[in-house]
Amino acid sequence: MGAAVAERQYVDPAVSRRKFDREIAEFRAEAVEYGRRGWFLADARFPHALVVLSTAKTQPISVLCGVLFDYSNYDAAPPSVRLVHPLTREPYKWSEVPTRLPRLSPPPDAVPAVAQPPGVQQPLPPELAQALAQGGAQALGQVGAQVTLQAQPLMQAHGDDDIPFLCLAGVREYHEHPAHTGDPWESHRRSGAGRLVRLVQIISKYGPETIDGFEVQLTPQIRFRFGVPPG
Amino acid sequence: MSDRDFGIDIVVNGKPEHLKVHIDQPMERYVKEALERSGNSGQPPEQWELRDATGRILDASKTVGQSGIKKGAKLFLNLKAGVGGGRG
Repeated sequence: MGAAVAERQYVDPAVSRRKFDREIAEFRAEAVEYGRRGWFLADARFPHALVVLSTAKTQPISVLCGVLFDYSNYDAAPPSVRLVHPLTREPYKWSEVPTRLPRLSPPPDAVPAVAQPPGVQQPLPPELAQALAQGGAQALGQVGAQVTLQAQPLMQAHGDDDIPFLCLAGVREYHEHPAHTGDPWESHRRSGAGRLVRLVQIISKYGPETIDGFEVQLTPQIRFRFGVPPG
Repeated sequence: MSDRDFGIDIVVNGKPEHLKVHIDQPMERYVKEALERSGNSGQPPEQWELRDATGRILDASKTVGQSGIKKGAKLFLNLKAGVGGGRG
């Protein structure tokens, strides 16, 4: 499918296919609900699934991006997840990606350091978490006096021409990254971290759900207006 | 079954679970029940995010009634993002 690079299948294909089919069947079972949120399963042929995300809050509604999943070797290995052009299915480069999935979080020293298992997020105060969840960026002004928040993109890359990856436990590119060797897939495998609906939900939350309108930038230009030239 | 007890569906990471709920009970009780039934014991309930059919995030500490949940409602429970971002 598209420009996806085929991953060598080393798990019994029947096993991965059965698990892939379960992901697709469960998504389709709730397709009407997901469609209201702007999620559309455009294609599903093992091991790939293409979900198209649209901006449900804008008028007119617009397509934001496609998300291409590769469930090769699932669930011995997590799925690969790429943001792709929804029409060509080409993965976006870092300089092209329509959203970097910004996520607000307190800096490491904003909350007491507590040893936590891999995959566990340091908790925000409940009032702050609720305000952010419901108000998004607009809540910043209300909560800014309490905790200094910083936006960190869930999408990561090292250069403008790189294909960015989703820096999230449960995603193949995350677990294969040298920086994350201490957080292996096996720690997340049984928690459902690689489930299709879970990953779409997170991408939607930090992507299209944060978009509630359009910005138009107009650059005025002033030039001389010439009359009819003399003969 | 009174009108204060009714059935709802909680879709856990894509898989639906049917539960009987009471209007005065906190939703976190049913979040735990849905996770247990679906075999999702790897992460604590706090690491899951509950939404209604419109996508609105629900506060699981509130009761079924306070959350505006009606008979036959369909809710969605998904594992949160956890750590990630800015670490690549």
